[in-house]
Amino acid sequence: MLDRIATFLEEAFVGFTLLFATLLLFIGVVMRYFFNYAFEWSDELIRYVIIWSTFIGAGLCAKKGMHVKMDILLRILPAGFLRYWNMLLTIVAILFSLFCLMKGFQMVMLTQAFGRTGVSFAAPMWIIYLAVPLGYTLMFIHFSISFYRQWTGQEKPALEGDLDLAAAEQMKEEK
Amino acid sequence: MDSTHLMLFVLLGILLLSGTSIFIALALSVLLFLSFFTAIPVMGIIERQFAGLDRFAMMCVPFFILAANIAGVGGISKRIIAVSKTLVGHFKGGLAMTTVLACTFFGAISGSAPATVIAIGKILYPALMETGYGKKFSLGVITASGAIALIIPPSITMIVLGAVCGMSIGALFVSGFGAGITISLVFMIYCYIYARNKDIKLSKRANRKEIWDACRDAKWALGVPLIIIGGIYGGVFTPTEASGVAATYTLFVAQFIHREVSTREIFKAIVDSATVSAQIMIILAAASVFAWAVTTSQLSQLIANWVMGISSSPYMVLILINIVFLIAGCLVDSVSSSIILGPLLYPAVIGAGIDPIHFGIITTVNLSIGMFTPPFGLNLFVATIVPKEGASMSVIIRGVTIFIVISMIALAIVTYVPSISLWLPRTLGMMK
Repeated sequence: MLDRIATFLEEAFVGFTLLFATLLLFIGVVMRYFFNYAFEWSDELIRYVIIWSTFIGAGLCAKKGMHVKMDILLRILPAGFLRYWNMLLTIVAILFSLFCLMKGFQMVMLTQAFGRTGVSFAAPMWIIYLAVPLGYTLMFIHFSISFYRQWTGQEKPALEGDLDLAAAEQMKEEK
Repeated sequence: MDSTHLMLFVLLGILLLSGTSIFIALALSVLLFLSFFTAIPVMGIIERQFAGLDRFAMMCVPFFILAANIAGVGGISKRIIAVSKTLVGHFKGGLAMTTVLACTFFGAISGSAPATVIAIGKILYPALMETGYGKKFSLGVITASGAIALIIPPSITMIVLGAVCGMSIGALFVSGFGAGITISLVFMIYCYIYARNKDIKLSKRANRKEIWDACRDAKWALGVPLIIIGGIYGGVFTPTEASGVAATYTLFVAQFIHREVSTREIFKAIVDSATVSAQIMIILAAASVFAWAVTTSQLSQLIANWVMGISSSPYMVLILINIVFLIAGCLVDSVSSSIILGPLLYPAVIGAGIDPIHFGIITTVNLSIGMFTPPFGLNLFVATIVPKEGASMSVIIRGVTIFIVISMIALAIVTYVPSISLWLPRTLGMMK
């Protein structure tokens, strides 16, 4: 249940940020060409919105097992060993996310201490930088859940092509 | 270059092969390298991830993905197929040609090959079977033609390649037309030969009115390539602006003009686009961490010297590039291969006197062939669900084999006749 609420929030976040950035870009272009008026801040804001969308979306990818990987080895490993190998890879991912979230928060604190703001608008930079540690916090949580599920045998390691299949099959069902 | 820098690449290689997610492999190899071999503070790894994405040119990736996804669900692919059919449907092998042409047109909206296979294949596969093409050929032509979308602009691969090597994305896009149309023509010629040998029945020729009707019904759909192509080449938009306008336009058409899907489904397509773009953008972020570490190593200069040591003839260098990217293309996805290999080979290419845009287009064609080359081409996996009853991998592989062979002919043409791809950007004054 909690899981579904969290997924819903993450999906709503990435969906609305992308939609917002799209419309903002469109309006900016219209204003410039038809009304000869340029928002100076729109390009910068679009970049920050998309960066937020990227890092939160990366958390979503971790949850759905969508992060791209080279799966040659995974395809040739015997199934019994593959399970342990994949758990090891998940631990690497957990440790890496942990490192990035800690260093990320440290970067946010430093920026806050300096009090930097955006180039063309006044939002403090540390709020914008917050995307990085938050994204990695999400990844840390999702990778940890995935590890737990693999440990208890609820989740099987997914391979690259299978995921595309799953997505495409989902598309087919909806049609 | 001192030998410790080699460790960076050894680490990356080990991590990639082990099956670690590519973005982790890129950033983690830098982290391990910095902590064990240098005194450079590791904070740079976080800063570079942010700074790597903080470029306006990079922003077109999510918008182009969004435009293509909305076009896929919003009834645009259906109309594109109808137009293609009235144009080439009456020739010998007409329906197979329709598949190739529809994929080429759809490529002007979509920058993703697997999405094209599904969007076009789902509709045309039953028709191909009915006309008597056989499962093997039908799947082969769909799987192979879907990859043309990677070459016809907009192309995610070209955006990424342009961003990491510092080439003009606009010029790359324009050069994609010549190359994409060449491959499309070569495929269509093969369709003709195949249909003549198998004696496939002819369809009736569409009269003027039918062509007109199909085009009129598709007028909104055809507006997308018009915005992208006309906008960028007419100098009205930058690629990023064009991507945003195209995305807004497809949203508008799907929601208010075609009205074949609910707002809910459209929002779901937006969420999917955001997720897929995050999947690509996080690799771009990590790649800029890696690039930051590599700048100190001069490895690409070393590779350039090594390549020049083998041969300084541009022809030989081109063959080498073809081989490297063909292999990479069937092992890793096209975005990751261009991120990792593009900057490494770029200096060698410049050193050999090859035009950067020509290099970009050859790379893209190679990677697109990799999309349907066994064992790991993504189109192959997607194609297994194109028929309602499903298809086995072995049928698909037997079907695409001939297309891989004829793609090599097209690749050779594109490689050794640079003017095919470079004529248009030169004429438009986008390059010298």
